[in-house]
This record gives sequence, C-alpha cells and structure tokens, in this order.
Amino acid sequence: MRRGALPSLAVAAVLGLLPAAVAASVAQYAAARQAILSHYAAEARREDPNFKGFSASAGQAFFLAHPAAARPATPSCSTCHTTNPRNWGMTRAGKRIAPVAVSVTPSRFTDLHKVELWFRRNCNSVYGRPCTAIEKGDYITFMASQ
Amino acid sequence: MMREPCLGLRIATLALAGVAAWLTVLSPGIAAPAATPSPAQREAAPAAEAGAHVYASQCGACHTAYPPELLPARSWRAIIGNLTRHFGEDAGLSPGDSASVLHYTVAHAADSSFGSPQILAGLAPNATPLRITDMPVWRTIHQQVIASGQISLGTGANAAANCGRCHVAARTGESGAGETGKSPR
Repeated sequence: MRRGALPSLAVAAVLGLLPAAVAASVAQYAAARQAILSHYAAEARREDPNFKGFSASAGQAFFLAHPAAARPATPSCSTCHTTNPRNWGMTRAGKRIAPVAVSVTPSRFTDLHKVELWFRRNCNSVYGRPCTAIEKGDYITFMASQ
Repeated sequence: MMREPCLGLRIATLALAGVAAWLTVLSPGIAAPAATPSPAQREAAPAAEAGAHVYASQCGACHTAYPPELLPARSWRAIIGNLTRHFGEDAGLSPGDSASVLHYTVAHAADSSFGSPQILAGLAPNATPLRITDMPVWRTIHQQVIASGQISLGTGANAAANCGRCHVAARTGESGAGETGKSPR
C-alpha cells in the first residue's frame, strides 16, 4: 500500500500541474505574439498615417488570394497551407506543415526573427515582392482568430 | 545486368549507412520553434556544429534534410548560392546561416572525406546535379519504385523528395504521422 502510494501521488501531482503549465505557455505565446503585432503596428503607422488597426478579414483575403505576380509553383499561401489554416499543410517536397492557425499551433508568430524570415521568403514566392507591415499584421491577426 | 542487383545492394547499404549515421543530428523540424537558437547562440557555437543545426532546422523545415554525402561539393555550392530561387521558391537564408550551411554541406559532400566514391559512380566529372534524384546511383537504386509509380519525380505526397515516405528513419517533424512505412532493402 505504502510502496504504491508515493508514485501515484507523484503522478497525480504532475497531472495536476500539467494544465497550469500549458496555460502558462499559451499565455506567454499570446504575449509574444502581441509584441510582434505592436512592432508591425508601429511600422504600419509609418506606412500609412491613417492606419487604424489590423483586420482579420483583410488577412483572410490576403491568405486566399492568387496574386498575378506569384511564382508558378506557389500561386497562393493556400497552395501549401490549404484554404483552412486549421489544417496541416504540405510543402511541395512532401513535408507536413503544422497548422498556421494559432488555436491549433499556439506557438505561431511568437519569434520575430522566424516570422520575418518566412514572410520574406513566402511573400517573394507568392506575391513577387516583400509584404507590407499592414499585410503582415492583417495576416497574423487573421491566424490569431482561427 | 546480372551483377546489377549486387552492385545496387552494396551501394544502397553504403548509402543507408551514411544516412543512418547522419540522421542522428536531425532536429524535429518546423513544429518545434523552441529548438531554434537565437542569432547570438548560433554565433557562439562552433562553425561546423552550427552549420549542421541550421541545415537540419532551416532546410529540414520544408523537405527531408538530405544527407550532404549524397551530392558532390560543386552541387552544394550551386544550390546554396541560389537559395532565393530554389526550385521555384524563395528559400533565402541570412548571410550568416547561408555561409554555415555551405560550410557544412561542402565539408560533408560526396567527394569529401565523409562521402564515398560509390555515390559518385556514373556521374560525369563536369556534371553538377541540383537534385539527388539526378544522381545516377540514386536512379539505379530507385528504378523499380519509379517504374511502378510508387514514387514520383514531381511534387506532392509521393514525391521522391519525400524520403521519409518509405525510409522510416528519414522522417522528422511528423508527430502523429503513420509509422507503417517500410524501409526498403
């Protein structure tokens, strides 16, 4: 009885702490994402003095668009990410891409260095140009709502 | 033709041994952003080690982090030198990351001390293949699965580029993916 009780207690303690740990990391991710959005908002105000805030619906349209300047292999963001950002995507080389939707992948858009790297690559591939801060903020706002 | 299978088997064994040794450095890939070191951490790491990590995390985010032993150094120079136009996509890295990936791949190329002459068999000295699937040895080993349509030289789930579809050990960053694949030969 006594020999089994201690491990059980330890397991129970760990299980009890897990939800709290997960909640804490999700909150940290949300704070990091908000900092990145603030970074882009400051840039957006420089791009457009009348900038009022980011728009999830504009981000959705940006995600689903098929820009004329797209490279043939990547006509749209949704080519690799699918039209539903909660889905797993797939690269052209067959590798799975974790969902872009924040509700499914809470760590999305929490590392500015990584976010900038992928916007630079993917905007060049899909839009044939760098994205504006407004476009980046709209995109992240849409994904955070998904 | 009778000695083909024997030669193929030897080459495959060598290649797989190389792959197996190499795979130990693979990172979990795109789904694990926490494993990505900060630029400062990267600078602090020794060049070769940093190159291996950048290669696995950056290149491995989109495709199998192909063993550098499967292409000659001249191929890696051509590929890493043109990453902003990488098979139709912009895969550009920062100048620092690009340099460390170049350092790592060239140091481990087929014609380096990590490589083996068998991998280069049949390759013209002036040929610079940009795809492992254009290596004569790869074609020989995979001719049956190409002919039967099990793998495709195009894009998508059965793309030959997706080594892990058949070679279980090459799978990375695919939590929850089916583990039913066979390891050929």
